[in-house]
Amino acid sequence: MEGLTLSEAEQKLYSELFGTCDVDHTGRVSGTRASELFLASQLPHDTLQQITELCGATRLGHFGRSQFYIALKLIAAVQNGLPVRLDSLNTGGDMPLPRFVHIKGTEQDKKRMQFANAGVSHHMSMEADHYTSPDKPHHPILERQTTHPGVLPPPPSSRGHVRSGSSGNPPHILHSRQHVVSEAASNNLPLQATATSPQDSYSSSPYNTSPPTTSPPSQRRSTDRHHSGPAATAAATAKRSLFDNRMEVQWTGQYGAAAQAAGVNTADGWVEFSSSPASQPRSLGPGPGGAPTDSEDESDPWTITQEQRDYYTAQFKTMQPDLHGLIQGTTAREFFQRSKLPIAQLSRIWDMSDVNQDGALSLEEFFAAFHLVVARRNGYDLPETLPQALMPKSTQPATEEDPFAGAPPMAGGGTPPVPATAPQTQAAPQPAPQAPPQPAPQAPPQPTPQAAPQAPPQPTQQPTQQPTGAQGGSKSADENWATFDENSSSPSPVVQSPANFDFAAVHPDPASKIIQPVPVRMSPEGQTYSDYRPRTFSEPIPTDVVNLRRERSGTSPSKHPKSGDTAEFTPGKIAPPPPSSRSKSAKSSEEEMENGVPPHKKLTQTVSDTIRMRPRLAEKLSRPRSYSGTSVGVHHPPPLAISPLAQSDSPTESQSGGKKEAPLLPPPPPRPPPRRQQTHSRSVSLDLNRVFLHRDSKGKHPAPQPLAPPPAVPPRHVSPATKGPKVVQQNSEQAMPISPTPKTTPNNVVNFITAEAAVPAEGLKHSRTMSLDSKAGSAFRTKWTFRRSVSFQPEVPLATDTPPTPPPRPHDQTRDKAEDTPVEPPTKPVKKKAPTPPPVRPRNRHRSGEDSQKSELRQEEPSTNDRRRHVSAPATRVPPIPPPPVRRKREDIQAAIRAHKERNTVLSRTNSELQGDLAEATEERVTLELQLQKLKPFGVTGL
Amino acid sequence: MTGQRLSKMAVCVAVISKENYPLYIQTIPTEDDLKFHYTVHTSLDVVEEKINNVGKTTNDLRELYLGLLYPTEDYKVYGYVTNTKIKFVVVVESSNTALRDNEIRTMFRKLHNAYTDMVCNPFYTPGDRITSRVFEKVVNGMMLQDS
Repeated sequence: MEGLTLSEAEQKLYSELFGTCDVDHTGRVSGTRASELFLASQLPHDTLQQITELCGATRLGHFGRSQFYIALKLIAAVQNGLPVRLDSLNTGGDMPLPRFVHIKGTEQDKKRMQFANAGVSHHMSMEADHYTSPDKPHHPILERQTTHPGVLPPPPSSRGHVRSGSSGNPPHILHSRQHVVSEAASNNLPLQATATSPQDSYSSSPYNTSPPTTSPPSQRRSTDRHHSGPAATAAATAKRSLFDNRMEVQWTGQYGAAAQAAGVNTADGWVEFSSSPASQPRSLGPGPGGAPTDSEDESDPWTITQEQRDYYTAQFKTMQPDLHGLIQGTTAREFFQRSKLPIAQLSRIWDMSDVNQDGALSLEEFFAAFHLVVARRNGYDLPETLPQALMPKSTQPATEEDPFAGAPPMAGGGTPPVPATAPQTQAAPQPAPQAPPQPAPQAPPQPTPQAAPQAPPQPTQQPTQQPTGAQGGSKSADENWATFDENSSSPSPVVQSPANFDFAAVHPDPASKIIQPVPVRMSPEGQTYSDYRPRTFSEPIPTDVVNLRRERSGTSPSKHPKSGDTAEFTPGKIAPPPPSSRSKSAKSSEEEMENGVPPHKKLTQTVSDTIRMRPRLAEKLSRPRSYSGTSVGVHHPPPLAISPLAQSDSPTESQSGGKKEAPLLPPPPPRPPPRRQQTHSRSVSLDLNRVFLHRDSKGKHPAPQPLAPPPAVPPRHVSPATKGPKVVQQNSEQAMPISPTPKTTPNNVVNFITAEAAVPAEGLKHSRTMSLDSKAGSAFRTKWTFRRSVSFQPEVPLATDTPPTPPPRPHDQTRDKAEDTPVEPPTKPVKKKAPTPPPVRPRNRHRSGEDSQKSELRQEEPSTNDRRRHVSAPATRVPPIPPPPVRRKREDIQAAIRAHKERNTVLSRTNSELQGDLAEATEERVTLELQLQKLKPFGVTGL
Repeated sequence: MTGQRLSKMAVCVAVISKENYPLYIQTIPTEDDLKFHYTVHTSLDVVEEKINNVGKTTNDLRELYLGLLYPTEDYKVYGYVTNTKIKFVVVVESSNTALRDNEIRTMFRKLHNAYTDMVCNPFYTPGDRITSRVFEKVVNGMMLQDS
C-alpha cells in the first residue's frame, strides 16, 4: 500500500523475509509459505486470516511484495496489542518488528528471530524454513518481550512454543535444545568438537542447553532419560566446549538419576512446556523472558539459581579456594576465554561484573561474570548493564550462600556433584587464602590440596564431569578440565582482609604467577586498588590511610591492628630514604644558616630518589596535590606527615633531625595519633598558601614553603605570623622523635629563626640577628625571645598586653625544659596577638631541640595549642579571635586577616567538597580522600 | 561548534599510547573532526617537550597534569601524562570560560580513573584501541557534561 511507511530496519527485515519466502524469485509468495511464516508469529489463526485479508493477499491469491509487507506490519501491530486494522499500520513512529518464533531453526536462528524485535535489524536466516507455528497468540508475551528484549527466554524447546522458563524454575540460561538434539549439537554452538558419535551428540544436546543448573529435570525429559545413565561416560569422552561439558556432566550427574526415576515430564514445571506446543498454547506466555510477572519472579533469566550458584562456587574454588578471596584478572581471563566467546564480549562482561573495578573477581562478581558468560554462550544478548539479579549483594563476597543448601533438593536420586566438591573445597579454602609471600598471618596451605580433594570425593559419575574429575576423561573434556585443574593448583593468593597492605599482597604472589594488571591504582586520586573492597564499598579506613598510619606509626605499632605487617613494612622502606636526605640536609643545613635559603633543591632530589625507590609512596604523596586546587606544587602536606621523606622536604626538619636521626630511624619514633589532624586536613593547604604569601612578601624563604603544610589549625586563630612558626615546629617535631639528643637543638633553633624571620615582618631583623646568636647555644634562645618581645613592644606600644609578655618568656624557657610549662607562655602571647606568635615559635623550637622525650612533645604540642586557646578564652578575651577592638590598626588588621583566613578555609573546604562531587568520584572515594587528607594533616599537626 | 557549546565540557578527548599512536579519540559530532585529530596530533610535540622538561626538573616529578599545552584561536589544548606515559589530551573551546584549570584537572582525574578501570579489565590488552563502553561513557560524560 502506498500509505505504508517503513523504517529502515523494517524494510531490511521485511525484504529479507520476503526474499526468504520467495523461493522462486517470482516476486510472489505463496499463501502457504507465507502462512508458515505468519504462524511463527504465534498469532491466532483467525487473526492471521484477518491480516491476510486486509493486506489483500486473499484477493490476489498470493502475497506480492506490498501485501507481504503490509501483512508483516500488521502482525507487528497486532503483536503490540493494536487492533487488526489497516489504521494500525501508521499509528506511529516506532513499531517494533514483528516477532516470529523459529521452531526448527538452529538455535542461533531462533535467537535472532527472538531478538529481532529488539529493534536491531538482525539478518534473519530464514533458510531454515521451519516456522513452526504455535498458533497461540500471546499478546502479553509480546509485550513482555518488548520490555525485556534482551532477556528473552531461550527459544522454544520442543516446537518453539515451549520455553524453558517454568514457573518454578527460572530457565535462565537454558536453551531448549532438547528437540533439536543431534542437529542442534552439531549445528549450533561452536562446540569445540562436533559430536563424534550419535550418543555423544545425543547426550550432549540436552545438557548443552543448561550449564546453569537452573533448568533441572525438565530439560532432560525424554532425551535425558535415555542418556542419563550413559551420559556421564559419554560426556567425558565427547569433545565439547567447556561449558557444554561442564553442564552436561553436572547435569547428568545430578539429575540423570533423578530424571530417570521421576520420569521426564513429571519432574517440574518444565514438564508443561516440554509437552507439544499444541497442547500448551500459552507456553510462551509464561516464558521467562516475556511476562512481566515472570521477570519479577525467579524466572528472570539473570537470577542465579541455587544449583547454578553451587556450580559457580565450585568453579570459583578451582581458582580461588577461599570464597572470600578474589580471582585475579589473569586467572579469570584464562578461565573465561575457554568459553570461546569473543574477547570483546568477555570484556564487556567483565566490565559489568567487576563491579568495583579492582581487576579481580570476588565470588559474587564471579557469579555474575560466569552467569553472563553462560547466558551469552547460550545465545542471550548481553544486557547493557549488569542485571539487578546479578549485582553483588554485599560488599563482602557472598559467604552467605551455602553452596550445599541447594544441592540436596535437586539431587534427588543422584548424588549431586556439587555438594561433594563443596565440602572439600571449603575445608581447603579458608586456610589457603593467602599467597605464600605474605609473612603475615595468612600464609597457609595451598591450592594443590584442593584440586586433589575434589576429585576423590565425588561419588559416581560426577567425578568425571567435574573439572578435576575430568582428568580421567578423554581428550576434549579433559583438556578443559585439565586447564581448570591447573588453575586450581595455582590459586590466586589475592585474598586479603580489606585492611591489608595492598602492596605486600600484590608482590608476594610469585607462586601464583599471576600478574595483576591493575592491582594498584596509580590514578591521580591515588587510591590503591589493591584493596578490592574498599573501592566499591566504603570502608571506614581506606587502605591508603592504613598505609599512612603504618608509615607514621613506625614507633607505635600497637595502634595498628596489623602492626606486624605494617611495622615491618614501614621501617624497611622508610628507613632507607632518610639517611640520604639527612646527610645532604645536614650539609645543606649550614648553608641554610648562612643564606637563609633552604637546601631545598638538594632535598628534593633526594626525595625524588626516594620516591623512585617506592613509587607508590610517591604517588600517595602526589595525590594530595591533585586535590588541592589552590596550590598545586606547594601542597605536599601529607607527605611530610607520612614519613621521613616528607621531612626531607623541609630543610629545617632535615637539619634538625639530620645528624642523629639516621641512626635512630630504624625504630621509627612513635607518632602522635593521626586522627586529630582530620579536622584541619583541607584547611592545611590554605594555611600553607597564606604562609607562603607572607614569606613571599618578605621574599626571603620561598623555597621552604613546601614544608609549610603542617600549619596546624590552632595557629590560624592566633595570628598569621604564628602559622609560620608552627609549621616549623611541626617539622622539627617530626625530626625530633628521631633526634632525642640536645645537640640538634641549636640547629633547630637556627632553622626556626630563619623560618620565622620570613614570617613576621617586624621580627625579621631581630630574628636574623637572633639566629646568629642562637647558633651559639640555647642561652641565646632566651635572649632571642626577649629581644623579640622587646621588638614587638615598640612596634605595638598600644597593646596593653605586650608588656607582660616579655617576663613570661623567660619563665617559659625555663619551663620549656619541663615540657608542660611551655604551654602556658603561649597563652599569654595569644592575648597579645602580635607578640604572641613569635614567642610561641621559640618555645616550640626549644622543645623540639631539647626534647629527648619525643612522644611527650608530640602529644604536648597539640595540647599546647589547645591550651593556648583555652588560656586566651578563660581570660575574658575570645579564644579564637583575641583581638579586642581597642587595639591598634595592626591588631584590627590582623583580626581581619584571621577572619578572612577562616573564611577562606571554610570556603576552601566547601570548594574542595564540591570539587569532589564534581569529580563524580564514588562516595567511597570521597570519603577516602577526606580521611586521607585529614589523616595527613593530623600527622603533621600532631607532631 | 554548535549551539550546544555552553553545555560542553570538552570538544575532543584523546588517549594516546606510550608510543604516540592514538588509543582513543572522541570528538563532538562535527564535520571537521579531522581538525581535532590534527590538533591532538600536533599537541603531542608539546607533550613530549613537557615530559622531557619535567624529567629534568625533579620538582614536578609527580605532576601528571601538564597544563595548557597550547592555545589556538578557538581551542585550548590540555595535556596529561600518566605514569605509564599514556597521554591524555583534552581540547576545550577557548570561549568556554567556565572551564578553569581546576575543572580541567578534574576532568583529567576522571579520565585517568576511567582509564585505570578500563585497564583493570583483564580482557583489555594494553596498547589496544580502547573500546570499553564504560570508558566511552565516561568520556561522553565529559564532553556533554554541563558546567
